[in-house]
Amino acid sequence: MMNRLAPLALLALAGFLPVAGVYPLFLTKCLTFALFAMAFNLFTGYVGLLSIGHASFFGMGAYIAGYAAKAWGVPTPFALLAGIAVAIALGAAFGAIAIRRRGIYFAMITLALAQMVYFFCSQAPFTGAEDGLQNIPRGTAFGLPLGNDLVFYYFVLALTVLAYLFIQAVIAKPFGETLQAIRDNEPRAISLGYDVRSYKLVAFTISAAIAGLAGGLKAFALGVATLPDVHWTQSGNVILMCLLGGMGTALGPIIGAIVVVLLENQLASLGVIHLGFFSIDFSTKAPIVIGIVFMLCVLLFRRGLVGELIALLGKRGLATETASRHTP
Amino acid sequence: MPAVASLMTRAENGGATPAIAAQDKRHTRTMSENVPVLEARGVTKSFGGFVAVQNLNLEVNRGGVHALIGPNGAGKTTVFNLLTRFIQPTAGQIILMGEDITTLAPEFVARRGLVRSFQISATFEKLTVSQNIRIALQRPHVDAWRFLGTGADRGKTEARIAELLTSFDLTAYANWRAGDLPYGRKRALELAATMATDPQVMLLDEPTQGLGFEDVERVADLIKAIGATRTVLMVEHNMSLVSRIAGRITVLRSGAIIADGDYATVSRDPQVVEAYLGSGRRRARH
Ligand SMILES: Nc1ncnc2c1ncn2[C@@H]1O[C@H](COP(=O)(O)OP(=O)(O)OP(=O)(O)O)[C@@H](O)[C@H]1O
Ligand SMILES: [Mg+2]
Repeated sequence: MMNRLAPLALLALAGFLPVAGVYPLFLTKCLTFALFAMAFNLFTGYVGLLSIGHASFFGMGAYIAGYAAKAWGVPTPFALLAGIAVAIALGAAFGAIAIRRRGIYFAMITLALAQMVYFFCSQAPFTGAEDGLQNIPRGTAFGLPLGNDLVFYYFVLALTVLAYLFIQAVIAKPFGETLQAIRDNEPRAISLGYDVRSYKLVAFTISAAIAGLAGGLKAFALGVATLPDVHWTQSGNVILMCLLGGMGTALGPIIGAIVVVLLENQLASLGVIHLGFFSIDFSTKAPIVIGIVFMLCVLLFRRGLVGELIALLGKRGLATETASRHTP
Repeated sequence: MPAVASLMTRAENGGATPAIAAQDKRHTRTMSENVPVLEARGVTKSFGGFVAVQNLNLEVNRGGVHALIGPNGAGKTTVFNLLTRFIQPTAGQIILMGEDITTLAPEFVARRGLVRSFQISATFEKLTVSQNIRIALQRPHVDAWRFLGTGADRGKTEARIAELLTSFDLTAYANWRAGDLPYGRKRALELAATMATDPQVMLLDEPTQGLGFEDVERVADLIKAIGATRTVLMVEHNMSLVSRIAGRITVLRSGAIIADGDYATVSRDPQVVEAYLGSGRRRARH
């Protein structure tokens, strides 16, 4: 019951917040990162391999969609599709190279590949190097004037809901059950005849595609695509969101993304605070505070916020989902 | 517990569980004695400088239960890993039903009908008993690239799951997480899931290890029933069980075969006696 009600409640809240006066652009930013975190969670949360390369898919999604819209005047939906297509190609390539390895080796290979993509982006003429791609026009989609922040927010919300439903469908199918089985006991899955590499590769590629969509939407939301989007710290960011919210749970990544974006925002607006002899400039210290929050979370709630909640409700027999699929 | 299930627990006539035998009629036809279904030819495996298996020539005939025995560290699990291609032999060939599978990937070996269990664990602990069997049943009907596909016909799959649960006396545990099962039931689940793949040859690595007496009897009956229609190659330390259900026994020591034949032959072999008594009592196993 919780499994069905919680997403609906969250959706109703998401629909209502802009009406209640919350800044739509801020909400849009939350959604794009929620989407990114959902994508990441589909792979790392369900397959159990840590990718440090997801910034590549997010960042390239942003660059490609932004460039297509700005330089070639491609309609927004097709620009987003172009970003997704490139993310899929990159994801399949990364996956094909890295999926044979496990544990730290897998993580390091994705990191190395991501560094290559970062280098490429810093040199390629179309990305605008240090300046990034600026003034990306939002255009229209299906007759909707996306230039309007509120309209654009609901557009992103619709896509996020679709992506959520898609991911849930994938997880609920035999495919999702098989991923869980592989995660549980890989040699046994092989001994039953499963081609486990293909399963991991497909999950990785789907995950990359959705990360590409998130990047494209982020580019349109803020009008810019810049190097930090492809930098490995962006991968670190999404790992943090998922761990904070609860890896391997449906809603955890969304909650984690919202918490992180909210914290960043609030800390930035705090500005400089004077504490007796010394003062802290919170506008530049956000990573430190988020780092501390993250550490506390990992130490206190090992399964993430949603994971712990599910475990708590599960103990009382209220939740049906198991929250035990967090990464080791 | 349903009456049917308890009837299945220990059938008379040496324990050939009727349900398993009934489901397996079609296999009986293709079965003939003395045709090797699985062969290792001159297989050697070394780990670094250590030779774990040396020039192994093993023939497993079609049908019945074949036991692979030997002291701890003799190389039994390594032989299983080699036969199922989980590890690469240093030299030699592996032949399954007349075809060389020496370079085949392990999942494809499984798809050709050679399915193994593992010494430690061969269940998906976080999935339920039914899900464990479903995963095994579904494999031929799913494909990673069709990730939105629904797999095999739901009704048929559920019916087959129910059948297997009954045969292996697991109906009462259908919705238990495999990780929560009592040990004996877990081993029964491994057998049920392996059976679900409809294998030609089953390799079982110490299927009764760690079981209490009651459970050993139950699992032994199940294996005997399976051996009536399929081929089972089994690593087993329990000699009274081996003598009861295995038609042929191969004894391995230090990676080489030291005896091969029926129980009477093998148990009189001086090398076997020496191997078992000479190496002292087996290490305690849990
Ligand atoms: N991957 C490996 N690397 C190095 N040595 C190995 C490896 N696998 C097995 N061995 C060695 O090969 C020998 C045979 O091991 P194996 O596990 O096959 O024995 P076993 O007959 O199954 O023993 P047990 O009855 O204890 O299960 C042992 O000495 C073991 O240490
Ligand atoms: Mg062994």
